[in-house]
Amino acid sequence: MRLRAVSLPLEATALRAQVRAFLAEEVASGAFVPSPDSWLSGVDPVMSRKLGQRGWLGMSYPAEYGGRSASHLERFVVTEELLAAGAPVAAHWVAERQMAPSILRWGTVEQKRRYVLGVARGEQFWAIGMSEPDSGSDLASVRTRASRVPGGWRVSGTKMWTSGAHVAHHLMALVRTSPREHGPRHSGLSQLIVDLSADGVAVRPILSLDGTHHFNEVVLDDVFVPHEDVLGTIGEGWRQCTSELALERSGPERILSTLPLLTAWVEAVRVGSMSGDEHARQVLGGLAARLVVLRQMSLAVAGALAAGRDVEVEAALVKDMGTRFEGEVADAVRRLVPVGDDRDETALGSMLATAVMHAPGFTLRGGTNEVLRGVVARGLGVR
Amino acid sequence: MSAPAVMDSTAAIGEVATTVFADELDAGADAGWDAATWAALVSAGLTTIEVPVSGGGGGGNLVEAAEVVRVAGSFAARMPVVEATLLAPYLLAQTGTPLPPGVLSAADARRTVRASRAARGGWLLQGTARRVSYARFADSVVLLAEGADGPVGVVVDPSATRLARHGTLAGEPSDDLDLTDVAARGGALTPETADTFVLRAALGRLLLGAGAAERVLELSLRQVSEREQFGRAIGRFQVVQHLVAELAGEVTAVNVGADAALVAVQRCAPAAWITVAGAKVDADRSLTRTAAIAHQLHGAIGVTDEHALRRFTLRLWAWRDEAGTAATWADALADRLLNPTGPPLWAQLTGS
Repeated sequence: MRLRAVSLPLEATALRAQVRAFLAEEVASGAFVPSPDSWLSGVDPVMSRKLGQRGWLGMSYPAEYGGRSASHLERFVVTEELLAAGAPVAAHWVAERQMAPSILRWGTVEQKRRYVLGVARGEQFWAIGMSEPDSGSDLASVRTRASRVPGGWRVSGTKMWTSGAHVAHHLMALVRTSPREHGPRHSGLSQLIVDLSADGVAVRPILSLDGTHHFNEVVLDDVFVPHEDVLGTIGEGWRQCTSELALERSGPERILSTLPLLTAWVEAVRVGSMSGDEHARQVLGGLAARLVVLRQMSLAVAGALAAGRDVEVEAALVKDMGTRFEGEVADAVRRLVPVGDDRDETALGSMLATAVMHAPGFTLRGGTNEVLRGVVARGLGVR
Repeated sequence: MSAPAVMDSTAAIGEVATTVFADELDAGADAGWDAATWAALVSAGLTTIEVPVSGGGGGGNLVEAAEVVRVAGSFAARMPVVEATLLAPYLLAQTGTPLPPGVLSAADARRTVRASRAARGGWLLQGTARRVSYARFADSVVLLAEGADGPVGVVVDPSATRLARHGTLAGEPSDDLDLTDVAARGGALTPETADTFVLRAALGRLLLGAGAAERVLELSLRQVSEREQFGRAIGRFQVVQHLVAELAGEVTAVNVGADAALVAVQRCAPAAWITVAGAKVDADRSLTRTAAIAHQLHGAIGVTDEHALRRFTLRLWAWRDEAGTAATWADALADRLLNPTGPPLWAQLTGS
C-alpha cells in the first residue's frame, strides 16, 4: 500500500476556474449562503439542475448517459470546488457519487437508460437504503426482506438514517432475499431499486440535534419492486454494495466539510485584531498544514481510482484522518471565537454553530472510524 | 508525457540505492559517519544525479535525486545526503562554480555569516556557520552567506577553519565553523535562488523523515505479529490494531506530503511554497505521532539501546526540527494566508 502524490492534468485548471466563477456569481446574487456540511444538509434542486445543465454532474459517465467519460481527477476538481464554496449540493450528491456509477457498473442497459441520464442532469435524486434501526456498522445484519412474487418482489422492512429520502425519487435498498443458513453472514443479500412514490412507502423525518432535517426513516410495507428494478444479480448484493462503499468513502467530502468555516475564520482574522496573535497564527498554520497534506492524500486516492487500483484501505485511512480533521477545525475555531449568542447575526457565528453541532456525525457517517481502522489493520495483515 | 519515464527511472534509482544501503550499511557501528556506504553510493552514481552529464553527473532531475534521500532516510543513513545531493550541487550550479570532489555538506548561514568581495577576487567571510551537517567529515562545505547586495554562495574547506563539534538529538554530527577572515570562491545569487535553497532543505528533511517513518511502520508491523502476550500475538488485540491503523495513517501522510512537495518544487508549481510549508509543518505532527505509537507498540525493548527502533525514532525527533521548525514554518504559512492583499485560503491551496 503506497499512495503516490498525483498532479492534476492541465485541463483541470480551466474547469476549476469555470466552476469557481459560477459559484461566486451564485453567492453574489444570493442564490445560496455558503455553509459547512452543505453536501449533506443543503438540499437545493435548483442548484442541482444548474450544475447538471453545465455538465458538471456525471462527468465520468459515458456520453450516451449524460457524461463525457472524464477522469476521476476532473471530477475531484469539481467536487472540491463545490465543497470549498459550501454549495447546497445535497439533493443530487449520493446519486451522482455512487448510485449512477453503481448502475453503470452492475445495471442492465434499460436501467442505465432509465436512471443515469436523470442523475447527470441533476434532476433525479436518490437515497441510500442500507442502515436500519438494528443495523448500522453491522450492515450484513440487515433484516429488510424481499420475497419473490409474480413479476418481481415484495419488500418489507425499515431503513434508517436515510439522508435525503424526503426529496429523493429512488432508494437503493440492500435487502435479504434468501435466508442466511449456509456460507458467510453477508450471503443472500441483494440490491433493489425502490420507487419512493410507490404504494407502501412511508418516509418519516428524523430531526437532527440542531433541529435541521436530512435524516429520515423509510418504512417499506409490502412494497412491490418489479424484476426490472433488481440491480445486478440476486444474492450478490454484498459484493455490489462493497464496491459502492469504496466510492462513498473516497472523496474529498471526507476532509472538506468544515472548509467553509475555516475560510470564513481566516477572512475574519485578516481584517480583525487577531492577525498578529501568535497563538492564533500557530493554530492557523497547523490546520492549513494538515489540510494541505490531507487534500494531497485525497487527491492521491482519486489518482489511484483513475488508474484502476483498488483503494479500499487507502480510502478508509484517509476518511479516518480527514473526518477527525473536520472536527478539529470546528474545535480550533471555537476556542478562539466562542459560539456566542450572536451566532445568528454573523456568517462566521452561524457557520461555527452548525459545524459544532454537526461534528459528531463526521466520524460516524460513511463507516465509523473505528470500523474503518479495522479495515486498515486487515489491509496491513494485522487482523 | 514524460512522467511515466521519470517514474520508471525513479523506481530504478530507488532499487539501486536500496541495494547499496542494504549491502553496505554497518548497522552495528553507530557513531561517526559511514564512509564505506558513501563510497558505494558515489560509485553507483547516486550522489550526482542532478549534476549535468557535461559536469560528470547523471543528468537527472530533482525527483530522481530525491529518491536516494528517501531511501537513505529509511536506512537511518549516517551521511549528509541531503546537503551533498540536493543542496550543494544546486547552489554551486547557480554560482557557476564547478563541483569540488569529495564529500560535500551545505548550510544556510545568512543569519550568521557575511561575505564581502575580496580585493583580488573571490570573497572574504566573517562570522560562524552554525550546525553544519557532518562538517567535520566533509571535504567542502557550500554556504549561503549574506552579501552587501544580497545572498552569496561560497565554498569553504572545513579543515581550514576552526571547527566546534556538536551533535543532533540523533547523534548526527552538526558542527560550527568559525569563518573569521576566511577566503572563499563563490558567486552572487538571486533572492529566488536562496528561497529555492530553503525549500530544498525543507524538502530534504521531509524525504528523510518519510523514509524513516516507513521503516518505523515496518518494524511495528513485525513487532505486533511476533511479540506474544496473554497467549497470542499482540496484533490480535483490537486496541493494537487501531494503533497500527493510526500509525499507518500518519506514515502515509508524511510520505504523500513529501511526495507532493517534491513534485510541486520540481514543476515550479504556483502552490509549491505552500505545499512544502504545509508538508513541513504537518510532518512535525505525523513524525511525532509515528514515534510515539511505535514506541507504545514496542514496549520496553523499544526504548533500549539494543533495539533498532531508536535509530529511527531519534532521527524523527531530530529531523522534524531541522531546516526550520514547525513553529517557524507555521508562522510563515499564517503570514501568507493572512496577508490582506493576498489571495484567499482556497486559492492559495489550489495554486490558482
